[in-house]
This record gives sequence, structure tokens and C-alpha cells, in this order.
Amino acid sequence: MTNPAIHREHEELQESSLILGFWMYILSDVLLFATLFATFAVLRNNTAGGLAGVSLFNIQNIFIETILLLTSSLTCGIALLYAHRNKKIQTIIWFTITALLGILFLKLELSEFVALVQEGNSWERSAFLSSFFTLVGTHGLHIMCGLIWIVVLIVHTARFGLTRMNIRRLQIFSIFWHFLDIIWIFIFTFVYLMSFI
Amino acid sequence: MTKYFIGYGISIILTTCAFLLVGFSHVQNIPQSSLSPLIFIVILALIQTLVQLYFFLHISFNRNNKWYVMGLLFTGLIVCIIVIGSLWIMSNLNYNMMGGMSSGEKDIYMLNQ
Repeated sequence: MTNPAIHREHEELQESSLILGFWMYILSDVLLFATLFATFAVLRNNTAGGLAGVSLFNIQNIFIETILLLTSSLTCGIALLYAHRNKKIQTIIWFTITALLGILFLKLELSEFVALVQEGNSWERSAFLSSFFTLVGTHGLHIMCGLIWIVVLIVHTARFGLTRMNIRRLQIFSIFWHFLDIIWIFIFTFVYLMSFI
Repeated sequence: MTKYFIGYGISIILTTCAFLLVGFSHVQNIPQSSLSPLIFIVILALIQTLVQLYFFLHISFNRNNKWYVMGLLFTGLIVCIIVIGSLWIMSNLNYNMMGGMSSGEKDIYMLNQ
């Protein structure tokens, strides 16, 4: 391990494997969501005499949520570009904006869930609502974990600067965040928009 | 940098189109079969997915990106098997073939088994 060239090559191989390995995790997460989507697709009409999606969902809120998440994906990409250029302040600023947009998204989604439950349309009401809350709730849980992750990364970057490992971690977080936005595309298409047709 | 903005712009357009389409067919009761807005929205979603994969996640057909594309295609295959398989099997279950029964009648029928 004393030869610096071999050490450097080993590091680079590790880093490219790091990203590919994380991509494999993302693909397995896609499979998880696929099963939840399949369940929702099967149970979408089992409303047990209760309300169907068209009476429960507020399309303006969904549009706002979509724009919030999409914009946070954009700011995430911008932040990563600054990180690669070693600009610590801009990196922190743009990742903070990403986190704030994510928090707004989660707040809006949570308020919708609370409203549904308070009206009596909780996950206990029907199979449709069970599968809905499971699917959209799992996505929301992923968003929350992402928010915790990015806050830790921002604090880390602020304290220790843009080291090689920090940049890799920010890169991996960005992949995770973009993947969540892609899952949201399928959620708002197949869960929300389809209920209005 | 511009790549991200182009991807963002296209995604906004595709999203707005989908929402407007649903808004119109919901409010105005457009005399078309309920199938065509559905297909259109699904196509919009698929295009937006590809747009975001390319512009945000930089998944392209480069030589370096081979494994990413392979993984994605394989996952796509498994997803299709899971989703289409589930829908097919569940719609073929015996009691679901009793067309015309309301869910109340189905429950009574099942209880009497």
C-alpha cells in the first residue's frame, strides 16, 4: 500500500463501484415501489362502499407538490455542480434550498393525509385507501429519510469542507433524490391523475 | 448546468400538459372514450421519466454507462412482470369472474362458502 499510483487507482475504482453499487440499491428500491404499485392497481376499485379517489383528492395540491419536488430536483443538480467545482458556500446554499423544498412537499402531503384521516377516510376504511396510504406513505418516508440525510450532509460539509468523500456522498444523495422524483411521476400519474379520468 | 434547466423545462411542460388534460376531461365531460386521456397521460409520464433519467441522472448510451442501462432494463423487465402479472392473476380469480355482483353481494356469496 505504499505505491501512491496503485493507491490512487484503487481509490478511483472504489468510487466508481460506490456509485454503481448505489445504483443497484436504487433499482431494488424501484422493485419495492413496483410491488406497492401493483397492489394499488389491483385494489384501486375496492372502496368498500366508501369514497373513491375522485372525491378525496385535491388536484391543485398535487400539482403544487409535483412542482415542489421537481424544483428540488433541479436545485439538487445545481448544488452538485457547485460541489464538483469545490464552491463550498454555494453548495451548502443550494442543498439547503433543496431540503427546504422537500420539507414544504412533505408538509403539504402530511396535511392532506391528516385531513383524510380526520374525515374518516383513514387506511382502515377500505382496501383502496390501505394501498393508497401504503404506497404514498412509503414514498413520503423515503423523502423524510432523504431530508435527514441531506441535513447531516450539509452540517458535515459546513464543518469539514468539500472533501473527496463528502462530494461522493453528495453525489449519491443526488441520485437518491432524483430517483424519488421519478417515483413521484408515477405516483401522480397512476394514483392521482388516473382517479380523475 | 444548462442540461438541468432543459430537463426541468421539459418536465414542467409535460407535467402541466398531463394536469391540464385531466382537468379538462374531468370538468367538461369530453365525449371521448375514457381510454384515450389515460393512454396520453401514461405516455407523458414515460417520456418525463426518460427525460429525467437523461438530464438529471445522466443515464445515456455511453460506453461507460453500460451497467447502468443494463440494470435499468433488467429492473424494468421485472417491474413489468410483477405489475402485469399481478393484474392478470388478480383479475382471473374465481370470485372476480362473477360479473355484475356488487361488493355486498360478493361478501354474502363468500360468507356462504
